Amino acid sequence: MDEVKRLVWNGELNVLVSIDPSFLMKGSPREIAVLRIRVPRETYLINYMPFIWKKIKNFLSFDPLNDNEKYFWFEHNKIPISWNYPVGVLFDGLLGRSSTFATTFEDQLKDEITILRIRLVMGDSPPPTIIPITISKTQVEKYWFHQWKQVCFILNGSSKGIMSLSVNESRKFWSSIITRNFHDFIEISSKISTSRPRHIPIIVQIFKASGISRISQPTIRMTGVNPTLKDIEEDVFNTDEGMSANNCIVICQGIEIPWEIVLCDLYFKLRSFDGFLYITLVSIKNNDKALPEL
Amino acid sequence: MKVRKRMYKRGNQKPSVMDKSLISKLTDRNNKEAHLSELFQDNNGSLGDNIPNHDDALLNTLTILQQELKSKEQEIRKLREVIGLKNKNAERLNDELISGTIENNVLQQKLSDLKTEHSKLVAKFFKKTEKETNVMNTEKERRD
Repeated sequence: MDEVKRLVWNGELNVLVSIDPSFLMKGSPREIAVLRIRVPRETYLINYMPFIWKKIKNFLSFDPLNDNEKYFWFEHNKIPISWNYPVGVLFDGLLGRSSTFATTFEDQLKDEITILRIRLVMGDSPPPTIIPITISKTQVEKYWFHQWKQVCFILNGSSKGIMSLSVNESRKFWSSIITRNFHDFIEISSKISTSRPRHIPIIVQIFKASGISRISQPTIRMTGVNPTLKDIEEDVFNTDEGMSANNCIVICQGIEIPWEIVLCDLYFKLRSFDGFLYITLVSIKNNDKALPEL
Repeated sequence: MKVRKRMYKRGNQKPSVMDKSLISKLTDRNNKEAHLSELFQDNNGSLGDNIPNHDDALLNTLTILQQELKSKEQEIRKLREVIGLKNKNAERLNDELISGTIENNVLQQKLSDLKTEHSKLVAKFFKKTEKETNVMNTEKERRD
C-alpha cells in the first residue's frame, strides 16, 4: 500500500502559467509572461503564488501584495479554476470537461505531452464561484487544516484525532506538503485516520456527455459489508441524470479505476493530501478522441 | 463476527493483484506526465527560492519607477473622481436652468393674463364712471 501512496505522492504535472498582460508594464519581455513549472498533483495551485510573484516582480506594473483593490484568480479557457482543490483533481476535472472518452483514459495520454494550461488574471471582483485569494500567507494552510478537520470528523465521528495534534506536529504536517516530505505526511496523517472509518470523505466530480458538470459530496456510511464503488452508485448519481456505472468511467488520481474496487481500500490508497478521496466520473462517448493537452 | 469476517475477506480480496494493477497504472501515469518535464523547470523543483539576482541599481530604479507609476495611477483615479463629480454638478446646474426657464414661462403667461384682466377692469371702470357722470349731468340739467 505504501508503494501506491508513494506513487500518488510523487505524481507531478507540467503546468504552463500565462500571466495576463495587465499585470506587466508595457515593454516587458514576452517570455516573462509565461512560466513553465512542475507542480505536484498533491498540492494547491495557490502555493505557487509567492513563486509567481517573485518571478515577475521586476516587471509588475503594481505591487500585488499591497494593492487591496485587485483580486487574482486562475482561469482555463476563460473558465475560473477553484484553487481549493488539489492540482491533480483540477487536471482530471479539466480533462474530463474537455474530453469525450472513446477508449480508456490511459490510452488517450499515450505519447503526448501532458500540460495543464492556466492563466493568472485579475479584476475588481472575483468570479462568484471562486474563493478570493488573499495576501495572507496562512490562508491556504488554514483552509487545508480545516479540510482535515472535516475529514477527521467524517471518518471518526469526532475531530478529536486532529485537535489532539501538538502545535509542532501541526506545523510539521503542513511543512510536509510544502517540502514534499512523504514520511512526515504519512506519519501524521495516519494518526488522524482510523482503520475502521464510520463514513468515507469523498468528493465526486461528474461530467455528463452534454458537457454539464457538477461536484457533490455524498455521505457514504460504512456499515455492514464493505462496499465497492459499484455498491455506492446510487449515492453518487442522481436518478434523473440518466448516468450509471455502465456508461461512466471513474478517474481517481489520473488513472482509471474499476467499479469493483473496494471503497475503503480505494480511500486509503488514493486519497488526496487534504484527506478527501476525489473521484471524477466521465460519460463515455463513442467516435471522439480526447485532447490530452490542456 | 460473521459480518466482520466477510468484510475482511471482501476488503482484502486479492490485495496483491489490485495493488499491482494500481502500481502499474500510477507508474504509467507518472511516466506519461513526466514526458518532456525538462521543459517545465522554471521552479527548479522548489517553491521559488532560487531566483537569480539582477543588477541592484537597475532594481532600485525599477522600484522607484513602479512607485511613481502607482502614484500616477492613483492621481489619475482621483482626477477621474473629480471629473465625475464636476460632471454631476454641471448636470445639476443644467437641470436647474431648465426648471428656471419653465418657471419663467409660466410666470410670463400669468403676467400677460393679469395685464389683460387689468385692462378689462380699467375699461369697465371707465364705462361705469361715464355712466355715473351722465346720470349726474342729467339730474343737474333737470334741477336747473
